[in-house]
Amino acid sequence: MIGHGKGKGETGVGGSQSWRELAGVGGRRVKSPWVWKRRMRLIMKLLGGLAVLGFFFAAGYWVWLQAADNEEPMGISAPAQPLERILFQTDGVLPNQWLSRTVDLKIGVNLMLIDIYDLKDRLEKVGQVRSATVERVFPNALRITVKEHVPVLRLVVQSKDGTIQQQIVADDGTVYEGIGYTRRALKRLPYLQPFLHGDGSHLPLLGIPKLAELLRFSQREYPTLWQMWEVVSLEHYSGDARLPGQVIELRTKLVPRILFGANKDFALQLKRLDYILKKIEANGNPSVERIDLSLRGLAAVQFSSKQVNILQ
Amino acid sequence: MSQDRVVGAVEIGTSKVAVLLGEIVGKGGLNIIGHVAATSKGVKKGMISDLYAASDCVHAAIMTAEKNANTRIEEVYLAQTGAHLQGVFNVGVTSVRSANGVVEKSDIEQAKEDAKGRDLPTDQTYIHHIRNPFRLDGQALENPLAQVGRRLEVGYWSVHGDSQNVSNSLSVIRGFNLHVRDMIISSIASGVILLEEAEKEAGALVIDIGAGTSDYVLYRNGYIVKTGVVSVGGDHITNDLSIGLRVGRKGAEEIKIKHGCAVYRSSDREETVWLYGDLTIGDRQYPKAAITRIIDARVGEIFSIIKEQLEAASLFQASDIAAGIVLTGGTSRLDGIAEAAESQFGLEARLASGPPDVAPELRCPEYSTALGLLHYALTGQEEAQESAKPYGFLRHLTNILNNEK
Repeated sequence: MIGHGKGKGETGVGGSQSWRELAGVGGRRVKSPWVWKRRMRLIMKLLGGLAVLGFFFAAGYWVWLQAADNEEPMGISAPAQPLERILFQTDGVLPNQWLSRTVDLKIGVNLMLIDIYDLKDRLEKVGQVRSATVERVFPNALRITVKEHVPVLRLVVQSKDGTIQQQIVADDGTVYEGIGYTRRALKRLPYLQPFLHGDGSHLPLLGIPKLAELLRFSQREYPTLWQMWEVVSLEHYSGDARLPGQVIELRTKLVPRILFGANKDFALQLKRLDYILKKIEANGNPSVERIDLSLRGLAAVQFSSKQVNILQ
Repeated sequence: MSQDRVVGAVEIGTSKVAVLLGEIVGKGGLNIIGHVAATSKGVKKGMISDLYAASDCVHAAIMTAEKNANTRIEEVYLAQTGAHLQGVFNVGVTSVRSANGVVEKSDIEQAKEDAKGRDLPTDQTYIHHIRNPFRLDGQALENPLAQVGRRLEVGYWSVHGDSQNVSNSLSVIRGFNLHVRDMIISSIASGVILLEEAEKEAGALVIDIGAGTSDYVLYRNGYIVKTGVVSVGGDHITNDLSIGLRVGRKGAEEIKIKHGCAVYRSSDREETVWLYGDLTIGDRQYPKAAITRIIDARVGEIFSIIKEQLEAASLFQASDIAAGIVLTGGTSRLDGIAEAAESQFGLEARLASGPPDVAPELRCPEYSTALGLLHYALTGQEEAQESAKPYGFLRHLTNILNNEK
């Protein structure tokens, strides 16, 4: 329509003998190479579009599959084979036989079926074991590594049925049945006379770390003195060194009672003890009843003759 | 239904093929989204002489435009030109049938049918039926419905052309698998975009001087009363210069562009111009008078033919062309051409200036026709949408793909 707004002079043509008859279906078409290129361009665009759609559908399907899979445990299988070897390592004396009795593992069981956490718990329930690690060594082995307590004392207890039993006291106060220790090694350990609590029970043992400190120091610096210790009495040591009158008592064949102040310097006290014993020896080994090293700045030696010498 | 569509305006000219891509948005918006002007092949004096060569260059131009705009044309508005186009003014007459003399719709349709139903020779095809005002008992009316009278007349300026030539143009577009929505002759397309409504009412003559033809359209009282094609254009001026100055066509074209003037002036006798102006071998001097005399004569011939055709139709009256002459087309760039038109017609003449709301590069005279085609696409879209086929899935998918950047 020309002259828009007024409707003047429409120019349309139709009916017979109009150009539209020539443009009807079946008319001539003169093609050029550009037609083919245009068609290819369209096809490529359509294919590209379909590829993009396909990609998004595939990505969506993959995400959906992932989401569905997450609802169940992942089925990842390790390269495990039946158990063939158990690699046992310890920094102490526990023997392989003990391990066999304790863990009760059968060769041939699937490595992945072994509950290593339960195994670790069972091992650590044994008093002599301070800590344990259990590892799967693929494809067919189990490694068990044990760290044992260090024994410092022996304890003889009488059970309710009257039987006498020897137990071991570790440096942290743990009491356990010693397994695998040689007789000689046990013989070197002094006996412990524990502090008795108000209910008459000796457990738990308190103040053992402090006592172990004294024993280790004397073993290291004065081994001849240490070999003399036969009994360590905590009768007057409740475990709290800050309390007044806390005394660790040692009993030897030579001197029945040697008293150490629990809150005093062990090095100084041992030095004094060494001096006193050498002095006694030099004086012809008179019979000594008691040496008290717990006095402040002093040491008292009580002879069997009731004579008391005060040394500074 | 309001739906965006991409239309192409295609003008197959003698020297160039112009393609504009327009996106019609809703019912009133048009975005020009691509344009290509390519060298034409296989076209002489506006008519296709080699179908395959013409198809090759037209298809290449459309393809390039589509590629640049990243879209696909859905339908084409095609310009038609050439000396084969002719016009005839037919008048349809009917007697008002109602007893009380009130004009009814059927009376109007009867008058229209009478005017448009004239048979043409079998080798001719109608391109436009351009309606002029109705006359009821001799009184001019825009719409005679419900008016009282006895004799109803309506005149149509009917443009027709050679069926073979029209078919050739359609074959080129159909060969690219595109549908021709409408065919508009070049002069009408140029006129519709270059003239204001007031100028059409006052009367105006638009002359589109292309390379092979010069098309014109005459408006009076807002109606197109005559169109015509003169098979002389800028190429003839180049040819005349080539023969007259004894220089090759390329050199003649260069002289026309650089030194050409449509009006001979006495001062030209004292002036000489160089062919290339760079003093290279082959560069020659020419008297400017020789150049302007040749151009003056040829341009004068074009205008005189148009004037004669208007006078022969008793349509050349200065008072009825008060808005003057508007010149467009590539050859209208010739210096002094408006002056030559004023001298020949005795009317005020001016060079066309493209619509201000299009990009500057599209305001040049070469794009007037293509812009007019897009204007047609916009103003005629309601009719187009009514008859448009509903889009299928593949068309929608194609549109989505084309629109993704």
